[in-house]
Amino acid sequence: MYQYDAFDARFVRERVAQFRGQVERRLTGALTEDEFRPLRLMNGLYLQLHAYMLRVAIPYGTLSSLQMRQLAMIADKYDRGYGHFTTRQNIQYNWPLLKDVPDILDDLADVEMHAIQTSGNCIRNVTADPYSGVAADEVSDPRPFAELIRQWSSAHPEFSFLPRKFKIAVTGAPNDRAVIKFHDIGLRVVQNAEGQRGCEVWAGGGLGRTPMIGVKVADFIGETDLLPFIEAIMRVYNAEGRRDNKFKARIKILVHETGADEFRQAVYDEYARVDRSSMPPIDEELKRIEAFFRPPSYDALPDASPELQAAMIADPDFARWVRVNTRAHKQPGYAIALISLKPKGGAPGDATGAEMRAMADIADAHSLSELRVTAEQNIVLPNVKKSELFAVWSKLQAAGLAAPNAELISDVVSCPGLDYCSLATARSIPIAQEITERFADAAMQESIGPIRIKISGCINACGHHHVGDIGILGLEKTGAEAYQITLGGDPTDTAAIGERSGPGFPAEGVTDAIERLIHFYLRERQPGETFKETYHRLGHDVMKGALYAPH
Amino acid sequence: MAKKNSLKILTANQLLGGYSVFWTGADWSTDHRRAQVAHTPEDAAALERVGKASEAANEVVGVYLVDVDLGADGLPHPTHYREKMRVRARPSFWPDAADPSGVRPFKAFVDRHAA
Repeated sequence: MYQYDAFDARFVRERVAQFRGQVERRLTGALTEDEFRPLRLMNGLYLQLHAYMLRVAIPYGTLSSLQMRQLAMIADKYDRGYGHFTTRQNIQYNWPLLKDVPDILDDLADVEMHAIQTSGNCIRNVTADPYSGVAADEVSDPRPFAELIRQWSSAHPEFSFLPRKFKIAVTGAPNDRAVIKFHDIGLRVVQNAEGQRGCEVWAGGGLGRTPMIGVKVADFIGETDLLPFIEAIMRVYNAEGRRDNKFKARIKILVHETGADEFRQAVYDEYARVDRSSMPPIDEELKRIEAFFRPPSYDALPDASPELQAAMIADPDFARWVRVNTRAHKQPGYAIALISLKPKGGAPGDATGAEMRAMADIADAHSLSELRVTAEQNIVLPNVKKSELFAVWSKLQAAGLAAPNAELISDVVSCPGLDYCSLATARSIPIAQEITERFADAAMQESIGPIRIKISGCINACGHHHVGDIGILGLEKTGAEAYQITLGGDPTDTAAIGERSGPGFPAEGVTDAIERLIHFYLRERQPGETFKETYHRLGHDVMKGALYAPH
Repeated sequence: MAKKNSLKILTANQLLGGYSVFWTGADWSTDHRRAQVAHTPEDAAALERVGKASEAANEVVGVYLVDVDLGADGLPHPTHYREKMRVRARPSFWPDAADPSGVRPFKAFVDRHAA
């Protein structure tokens, strides 16, 4: 993992001290709310429906066990004993007191964390493939690139007041788990024909009220040219992005209104003008950062584990968890294990302080003290010996964290919705809870197979409903909550925006509609066919009809 | 959010904790049922002036009027579902009896979740 140098540490501490002074001045009245609001937002502090909310950055979703324990401590000491892991690999605390926030930020700085640029019209926390560095299909670990961009973009004077917020995601694998085509900039680390490393660059993707798939701006930008190229994109956006209308201010609008070719040309024109002398030698900096991400000292193991095989035969519940919640690791004898934060009836992404500590302890014992946060609001143990999976599962069971539902129907992604969010138009968590209860049976879930259900409580789409196989959007209709269902969304390389199905449903009708659709799919699917494949074979109109079929 | 010619109460977020508060006519309360009710546009305008003054005094932020009806108990209750959610001071899926102050650790929730 990356470790702060003296500059990083001083920078973060100085920001905490600045914010402490700003809070003190706010509480004494020296700063008005209008003056204070942009300052608190620059430090991740929102005012929500019931309380303040502090969003803490988890750079590219990577956490040490030490950091996870500190997040638990903060939840218990300053909040109400839990935190909410978000679709952008961050964590949010829903109940901090304003006076405590500087102390929280100091406690975060103790473990090299902060809340800088988790809000505001700036470059936000860079996200990445949660399996970075360990995925069997990976070309190159994307985290050094994410860290390079994080450092370059932190308090960047030119890009701190953009037309709108700006999100960058990086993957290093051909299978996109970082949703790069729906980001303002999406990067995929690749090698060119000469064996040089660089990035495929996408821009202009996004969700929200105007979902758009990004366009490819470059097939290959060499790694030492990456920051100048990103700077060129940022500069075109900063100059040409709309500032007259908040709803048309994201780069996706600029790219799609300008046209991909013209936008690409503008970027290359700007790229030719970028002053590289203002940047540090990127190859040296990348080399310095990469040293922090060297693969750990893995034990040399055979890939197959007799202990694992025996345990799977002995315990069918464990076998199911292994089938559903583990993924292929690049190192023989190791596995990636997913900890689901979607227990039956739970709030998606929530973890109590006790649960966070349990995950940290398990990471220390079995995953080289490292964890990851996924965009699906789950936690990853990236380095588990296959022979130790049974011990991991047993401990997760004891902690109530062994739900065998990763990427299945009850692994529902949900924004906080109207239960917390002041922007929301409808609740989303109770809908997710009802779905997880309705489809709680583990065997049934596995039989249904992979399916993404994503719920947003308003058009801003923090629950990523546009890219769910089944997307649910909560809206207000004639003074009541109503839910619009979309089908066919896809966050991966075969990116697609879900298509609206028809009239919305009242809250009490959503789960019934989904159940009708799932029963239809189970009846109509061909052997081995996933929900997504059945959807594409039968078509939208046929599938959507099942939502509205008579009872 | 507030409609013309309906009953209204004044709400805001308390500065220190951010939690929802309601103007009683004398002070801010976390209990909306204690709120002073404006029956006329003039009453509502007076409430808004109180809110602006309280904002200026750094007691609260985000002052606005909320439409209410008088319930069977004779007390004001919001008419819109968003405001009904807000006066609960907790997520809708948490039990009713928990943590009415909106500021203390919510131990029952943690215990239930950890159980």
